[in-house]
Amino acid sequence: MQKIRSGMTACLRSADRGAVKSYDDVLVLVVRVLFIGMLIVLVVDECAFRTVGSDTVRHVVFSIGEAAVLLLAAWKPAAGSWLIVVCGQAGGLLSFGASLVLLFACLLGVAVLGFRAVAQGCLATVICVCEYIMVNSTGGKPLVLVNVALYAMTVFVCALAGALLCRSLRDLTAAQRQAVSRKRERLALTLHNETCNDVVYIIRRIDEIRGDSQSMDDHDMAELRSVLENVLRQTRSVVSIMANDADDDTAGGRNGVVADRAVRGRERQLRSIATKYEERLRRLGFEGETIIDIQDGGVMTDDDYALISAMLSELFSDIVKHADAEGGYFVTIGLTSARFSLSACDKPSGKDSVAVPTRMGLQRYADQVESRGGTIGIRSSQDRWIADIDLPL
Amino acid sequence: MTGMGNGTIGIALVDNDIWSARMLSQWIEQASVDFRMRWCTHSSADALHRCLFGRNAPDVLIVDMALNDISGDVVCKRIRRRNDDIGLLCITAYPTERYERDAIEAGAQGLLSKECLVKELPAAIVRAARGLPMDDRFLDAAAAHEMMQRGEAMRSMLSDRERDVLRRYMRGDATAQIAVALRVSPNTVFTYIHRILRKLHVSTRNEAMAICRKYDLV
Repeated sequence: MQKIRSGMTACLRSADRGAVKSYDDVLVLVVRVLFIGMLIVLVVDECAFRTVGSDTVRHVVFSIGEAAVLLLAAWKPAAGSWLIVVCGQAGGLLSFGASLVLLFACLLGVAVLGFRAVAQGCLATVICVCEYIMVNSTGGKPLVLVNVALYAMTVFVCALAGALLCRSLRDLTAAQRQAVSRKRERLALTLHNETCNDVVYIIRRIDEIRGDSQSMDDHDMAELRSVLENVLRQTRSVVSIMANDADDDTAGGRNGVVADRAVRGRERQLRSIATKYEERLRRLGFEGETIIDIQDGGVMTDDDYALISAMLSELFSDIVKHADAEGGYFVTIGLTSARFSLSACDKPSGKDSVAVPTRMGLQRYADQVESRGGTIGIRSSQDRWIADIDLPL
Repeated sequence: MTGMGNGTIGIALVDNDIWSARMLSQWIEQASVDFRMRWCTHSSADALHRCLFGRNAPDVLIVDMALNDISGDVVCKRIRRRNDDIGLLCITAYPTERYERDAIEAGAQGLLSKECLVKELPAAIVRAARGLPMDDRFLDAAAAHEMMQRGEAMRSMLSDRERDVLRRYMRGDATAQIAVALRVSPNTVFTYIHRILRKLHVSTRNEAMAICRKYDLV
């Protein structure tokens, strides 16, 4: 069981990481494609359309430099973007005139840096604007402030777009992580509430039969088989959810406690849960009783019913797992139109070889019960374990 | 019956209001040198477990009729079914008439109003510790236990489905409603009822329900 649990956790963790990583990968790919596209445009432009003047060698060297920078940006987008930002206006300074391809590459680089960090985007914007001012104020040319402002705004918008994209992706990733986490929690609950508890019952039942040196009769075999069939059904459901990435509620349908909207149907369901576990306890040699006192129907919402049935199953499972069969047990269940009350008492076995206690027990429901204005109290001593649950309806 | 051997009476208390229970416990201890409080709890499951499985069962259990989960008379019935040693006294803040029949049918040795505890409780405790009722409306512990045993025998004669039908009639359901709930025809429900009447040796449904209430068959 431990292996299955750790395997499942690893699987879910890797799925979680995978989901988060995929956005970054796609984005890097898009940036690389854009830089390579610009490189192609640059090469085509230089080879076919640009008329080269007297300074051919310098121009060719400069163009090769531009191509190299774009290539670097496609390979390492962050480092390449910084290089493009720093060299963006080099053409202007070297009196070749600003390359249009490099200008676009510069805007893309600023966006990439803005995506990495807002501060990097802002710094890149400042560098670009400074370069623009330097290029346009050389040779005693008058600086047109409106052009500077427009250029600054354009570059800043790119930086801002990168930062906003980063934030959106982060939110999307957080939402995805939360969904994965919720799903993981539901799967864990299903495995614990149903599968583990059933398996623990089977182990304990087999131990009882071996301990008493009895042989299994047909009735025992049929009962254990039906429990194992249930375990198989639950396991298949969990596997199916993990494989298909379905997001349906795993806790609701498979435990044989389908929420029945009719109040009397719910009473019957509660009684049937109690009867099922009482029968199991009796077979395990427990002496005790479950007393159910349902008055005037008791109206439950779907959520109330789901919580109550889950707690009831958990309570009985705790008795199966941790109580001393000879020490006796009592469970009392009261349901009125206003409240649900549950009280249980048994003698702890003192040996938890079958089921190591985890945080998955009744205490796990404390937050849900308290958020509905109820209370859940669990006291334990060497010779007594007492649980009290009170839930307003 | 005074189980502590030296004439003292071991007393336990179950009350949903734990503060009221503690105050009453203190008062009981001071009411007589023979009274010793063994424990008090607000949990009916805890009380049942201590009385029927624990090594610290009291000589007298005082039970509040209004508990959180199940009512006090149900606690008394469960104890009396298995035990004829523990004296059972019910207490209530409501007029005693309201619970009198329930307390008698539950095998309790008395029912006291909380207003009259100071005056009536010490004497009732002394009598209950010997298994005696506080007055002739109630049965003594041994007779009540015997009655419960008879009920147990009757209970085993009824099937789960028959008990379910009786439970629903006692809740006030009509035959048609029961038929729908159990997914059978009304005639089948009547068949169940005829079987129940035959098994309980009564002639009407109301008599059957009265026996159910008396012996806690459902």
